[in-house]
Amino acid sequence: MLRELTSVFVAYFAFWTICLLFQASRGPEQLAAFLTTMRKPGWLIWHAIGLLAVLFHTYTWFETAPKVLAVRIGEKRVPDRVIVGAQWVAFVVVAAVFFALLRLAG
Amino acid sequence: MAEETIVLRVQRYRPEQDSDPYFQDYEVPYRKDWVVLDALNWIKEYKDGTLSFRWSCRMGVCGSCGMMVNGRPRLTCNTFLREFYPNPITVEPLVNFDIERDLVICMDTFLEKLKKVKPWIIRREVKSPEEGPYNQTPAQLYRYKQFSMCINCMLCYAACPVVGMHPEFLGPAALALGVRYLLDSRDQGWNERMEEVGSHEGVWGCTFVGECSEVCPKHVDPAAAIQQGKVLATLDWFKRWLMPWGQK
Amino acid sequence: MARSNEPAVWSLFAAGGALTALVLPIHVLLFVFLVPFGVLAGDPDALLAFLRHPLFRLYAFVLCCLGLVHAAHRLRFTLVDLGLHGLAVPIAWICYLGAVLGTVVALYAVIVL
Repeated sequence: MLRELTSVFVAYFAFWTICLLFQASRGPEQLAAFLTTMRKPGWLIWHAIGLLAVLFHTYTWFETAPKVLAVRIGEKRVPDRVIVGAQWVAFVVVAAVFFALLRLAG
Repeated sequence: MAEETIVLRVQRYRPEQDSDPYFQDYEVPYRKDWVVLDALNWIKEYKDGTLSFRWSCRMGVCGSCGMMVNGRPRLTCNTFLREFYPNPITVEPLVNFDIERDLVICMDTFLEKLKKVKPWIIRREVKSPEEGPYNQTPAQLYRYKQFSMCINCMLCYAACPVVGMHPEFLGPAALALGVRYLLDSRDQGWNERMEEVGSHEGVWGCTFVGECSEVCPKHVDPAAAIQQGKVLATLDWFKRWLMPWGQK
Repeated sequence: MARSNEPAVWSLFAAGGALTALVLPIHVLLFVFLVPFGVLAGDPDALLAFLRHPLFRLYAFVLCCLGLVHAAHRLRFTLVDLGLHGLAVPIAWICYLGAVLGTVVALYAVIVL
């Protein structure tokens, strides 16, 4: 049930991202004001819970992926932990790329 | 030396004399190598011949002796008393089924669901015996082999919350069996089978709770079978809508 | 029993689940935590330029759209499983309409950005 409820935070962060975009469309001052608000303790605590929730979504999704996609090489079935591991590797690579892109931005 | 004993709390129900199920306690000898089924047979032989329950092979291959042991669906021939000793053990009939008598459940609905997925090889082109067998490579066999190991013990139906809430849901064992045939290279019955497996009461009723695979004594992993069934049903759906010519 | 049309929405659910599993934690860490504290893209004009980049707009739209469909699909079943069986059909409508509305709003947001 906890796994299913992470989807509430997935939806929430989608809406949050939309809000970010709307604030940005209003110009740099509005964007800066929005980001300042997001530093307030209340928002930080709420978003920390949200971050944990989406990380749990990632963890449970990666764990169940080998069940959905039975990957085979010839006769042998690729072990579940290899599929799980490969997803985490991809996760880290994507994280590094995003980090690098934002670094380059400014 | 006093003999060690353990209490079995068994659910009774005899339709001809009971209005409701009730619990009856039995004190049985405790032996380290005894399973719950041994205790039940001891009760029936020495204490209460009226107790009814299903069993057969007593070695975990026939699927007859499934019951709720301390609230979890277990094969009683595979559940040792020493796991619970010295605490009492509660034995009830499998949940999500109507009770026929004591620990015996009515499995008609289950058998109907098995039939719905047409669990046999369907051929459009039938070979004559002289043409030889329908051959299969080991790789083709392994695609579905795990899902063919089901012993129809119904523990997965007792574990599945969807079966409890939606009785028309085909359920883990029937769907795993359906997927077993969809994945069998010798089978040519994709279309007919997909009508049931790909229906609202088929794979799409499953929300991947995964309890079915947790309780399966033969490691069939019906949850995985159903998710793979969802992928197959999705590919089937896209093929029918985007490429309606040429049905399998 | 006839084949269901569930695959139409399940494929979006699966895509949304896979994308958000891969990307959402880092997305949240970066934009919800690090950017507001100026650890990355501290200069507001640089950040704005980054957000306005067509590739980011595309990314944000796809993330929001698939994420909302994923959440709608999961919430629909969860609400029914929590006991609201009789309301299964209206719940499904409300959840998916919510996702569609959110997608339209997201599209508007990336366009006016």
